[in-house]
Amino acid sequence: MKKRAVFGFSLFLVVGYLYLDKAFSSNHYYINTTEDFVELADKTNIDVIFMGSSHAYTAYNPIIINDQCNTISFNLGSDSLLMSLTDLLLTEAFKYTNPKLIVIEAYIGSLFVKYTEEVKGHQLRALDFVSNLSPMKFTKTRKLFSNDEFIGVYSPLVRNHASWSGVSFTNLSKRRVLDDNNVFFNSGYLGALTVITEEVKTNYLNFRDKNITKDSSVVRIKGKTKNEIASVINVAKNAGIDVLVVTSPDLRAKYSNYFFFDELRSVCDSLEVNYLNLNDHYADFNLTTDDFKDSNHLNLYGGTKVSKFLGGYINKNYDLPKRNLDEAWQQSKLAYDGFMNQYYNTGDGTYSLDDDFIFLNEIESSQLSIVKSGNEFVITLNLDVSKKSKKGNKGFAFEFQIHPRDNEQNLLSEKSKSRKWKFERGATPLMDNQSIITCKITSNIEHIKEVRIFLYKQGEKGIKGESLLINNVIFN
Amino acid sequence: MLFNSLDFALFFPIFFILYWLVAKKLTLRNILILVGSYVFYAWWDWRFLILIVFSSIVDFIIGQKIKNSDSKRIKKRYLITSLLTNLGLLVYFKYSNFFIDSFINSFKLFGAEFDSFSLNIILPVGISFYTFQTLSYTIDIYRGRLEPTKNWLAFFSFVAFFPQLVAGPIERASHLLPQFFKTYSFDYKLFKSGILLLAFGLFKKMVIADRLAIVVNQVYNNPAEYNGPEYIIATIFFAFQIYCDFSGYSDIAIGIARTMGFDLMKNFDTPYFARSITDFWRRWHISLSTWFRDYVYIPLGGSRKGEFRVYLNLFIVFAVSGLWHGAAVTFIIWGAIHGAIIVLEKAFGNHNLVYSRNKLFSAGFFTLLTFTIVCFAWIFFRANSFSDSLYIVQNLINFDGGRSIIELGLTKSEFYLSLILIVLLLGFDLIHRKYGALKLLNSIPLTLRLMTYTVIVYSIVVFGIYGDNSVSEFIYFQF
Repeated sequence: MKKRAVFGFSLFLVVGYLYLDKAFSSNHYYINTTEDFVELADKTNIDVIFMGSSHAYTAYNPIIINDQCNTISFNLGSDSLLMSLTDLLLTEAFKYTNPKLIVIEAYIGSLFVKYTEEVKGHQLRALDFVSNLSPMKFTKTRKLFSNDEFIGVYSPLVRNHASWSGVSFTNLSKRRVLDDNNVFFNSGYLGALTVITEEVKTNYLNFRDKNITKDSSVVRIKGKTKNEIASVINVAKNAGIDVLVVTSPDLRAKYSNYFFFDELRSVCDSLEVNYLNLNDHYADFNLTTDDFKDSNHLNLYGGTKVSKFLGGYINKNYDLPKRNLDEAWQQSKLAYDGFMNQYYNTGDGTYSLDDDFIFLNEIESSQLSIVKSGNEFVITLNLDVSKKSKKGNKGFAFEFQIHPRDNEQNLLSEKSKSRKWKFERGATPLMDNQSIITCKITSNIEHIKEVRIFLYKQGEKGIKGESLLINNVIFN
Repeated sequence: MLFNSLDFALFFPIFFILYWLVAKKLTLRNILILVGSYVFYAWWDWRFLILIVFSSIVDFIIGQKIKNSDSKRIKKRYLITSLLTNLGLLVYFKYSNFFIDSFINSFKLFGAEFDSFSLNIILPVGISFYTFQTLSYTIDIYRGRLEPTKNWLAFFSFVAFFPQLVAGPIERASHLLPQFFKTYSFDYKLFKSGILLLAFGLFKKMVIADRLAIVVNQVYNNPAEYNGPEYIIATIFFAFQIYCDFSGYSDIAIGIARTMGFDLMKNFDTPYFARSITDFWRRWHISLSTWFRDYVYIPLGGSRKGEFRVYLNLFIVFAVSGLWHGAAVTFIIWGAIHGAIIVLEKAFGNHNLVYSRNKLFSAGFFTLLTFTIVCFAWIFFRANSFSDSLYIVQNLINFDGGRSIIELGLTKSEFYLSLILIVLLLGFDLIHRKYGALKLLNSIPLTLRLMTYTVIVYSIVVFGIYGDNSVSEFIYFQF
């Protein structure tokens, strides 16, 4: 009886722990990355893995690499991932797949880092992916975290227990719902649609000019730092896997210290691996400040340029198996086509929405369509005329706003620019018994970020009723 | 080493396994207890060991000397040596600065000015507890109630026994010392009840006390920013904070000792259900109140020297008890309030009659009245200074302004959880007093029991206040 009781209690504890540990896990986007990685590795072998920090996951888009190299790749980049933890993450990844090439993103921040609370916190994303039974995880955790933090590293329940009031105990899926309107996510790549602000942009207008400074505070890669790089490379090499070290574009590159890149190159030479500094190739892929989301991270458009260039480099320098007959590759190809269509297709088309929407009492739409033809947008609203307003519609008008994506703000008409609008505007008065409302807007913008439609009353300030917002308009 | 720390979570399982490996070999077991206790104590500061070893040596030798002396005068001289040594250490380490300040301030009353200065002295953790424990040993030998031990290992282990070393219960040698001469067999029932007590103690400390402490600290550290309602909330919270903090420590101490086969005395007995202050002190910090009764009140004459002396003795005992808690006027006032009320209770009627279920007043009324008085006294106990306590008392019924709960340091959900926990605690105390929690737990079906254990464990993990290097010390460590 006692044995059964002890066994039962232990079982309760273990089951309870597993449940609560899951419930208390943060719903960070890296959960999407690791779950997708495991899922893909279950289906097929992943031949190329990108490792590194946010510089990696914002720069290298696997679906573009797959298309260019006929391979299957995945981006395991994680926020602020330290070089000293990259070998651990890589070792864990090898449990799931047998890659042929590892691309390691390295820059000053991933090699010479201050262990702030924030940086330590970011390491937990990658550490959560690594099995708690890993002896290497134990050793690394001991080095990086204090005694008080140690259990928290192993247990999201302990780590996040203070936020109990915000935890959903019924929904154990910790995948983050990403806003398609702001980011594109696939195979660990996270491309942002935002563009660096004009204010920041002005600081880096001459970012293409290589300005080598060799002052007394040069960043030398030696001792512990060199060993960390060597450790990551050796983990791959010992498994018979090729390694490529890359540094992604960074607007601050010339302002930090170009000497670092020479140091990194010599370290890579000594370890007999290739090094590609993408900061040396801005002209090759026509990188502009509009390709950055901030001073050191590329946005989706920059990521596409870099990925295409890197794909070409990999094709030229590495002999990867051709996988274009695999189902996983076909799916990647479909995703790639969709991606290009969504973000790069400037062709005309129609967008329609069949949902009912009430703008104001008795003013209800049943259908909406947007037609793009060249530089002309025609928006059509079907209204339900069976619901008549007793007071009539006199003085009412519909306003239509077309907001372009951030990188197309410069394509706005002069009229919008002069009025400091971040959209194109059109308006149509509303008559009694009118069932179809149309509005024609002429603009050079190619991609719509958002369409906003609402009622207003002439001579009065403000919106009347509700606004209809449509995000992410894609034309068929 | 704190019971609610990772260090202890690693220390205790190792100690526990070693303990039961050598449990049948008395000397080896006592060596392990002594070494373990010294490691536990030295975790704060190894220099503290010097004091405890010195105190142990003095009382071990004096105990023998008293026993071996035929002359009462010499016995008394030895007793005085022990008293001077132990109380001298206590006064030096705990009260030096208080007496210096009081001395300077009293001269200021007569117009004399001295430059203020203070000694740079660290207060050794738990000195008030083990000093009282060793004193009781020597006094009992002097009174002829206890035979001194010749086994220094057992005596040193008795003084330093780590479960109760730093915050009691203050054990009497007659109860605890003989247990160091017995070996124990592992008893599953004892082990289980010990672990349950430990878990419950941790729950009270980490889930209730440390949560309530956030509000209490917020208000009491910034009294000028708050008004009556906040003072009342913070003081009621403090009443439960200190109860959960201290009784939680006692539960852990008793629980740990029990897993080793040792029995420590009960220290709390549902104090907030007391119907008078006299009754309160039968239920609150029992090991200290009985110590003061036996070693201060009775030597002062107890109730044998007339009515006035009884009142005076009672008042002195409580004022000294206040001073024992801390070297500050606020603690003396706290003790004096309790002393004064007890004198009033003694003077104005047989409270067995008044406070029992009579026609005029319900038991609930007196329980509430007692709780109110206790809470009022807690204001002085918790306030950071005498002027703070006066400010709070003066503004206790000032209901101007009013702030949101959030501004008291907790989120809304945390605040409501605190209230629920207080209600649950009172409910638990009521059930425990009436039926015995352990007895009740053992009577329910196994599945339900296991679920209860699981809920306790996970309640501590989920709702406990810990992390971010903020393992908080137990309040009574400072005394």
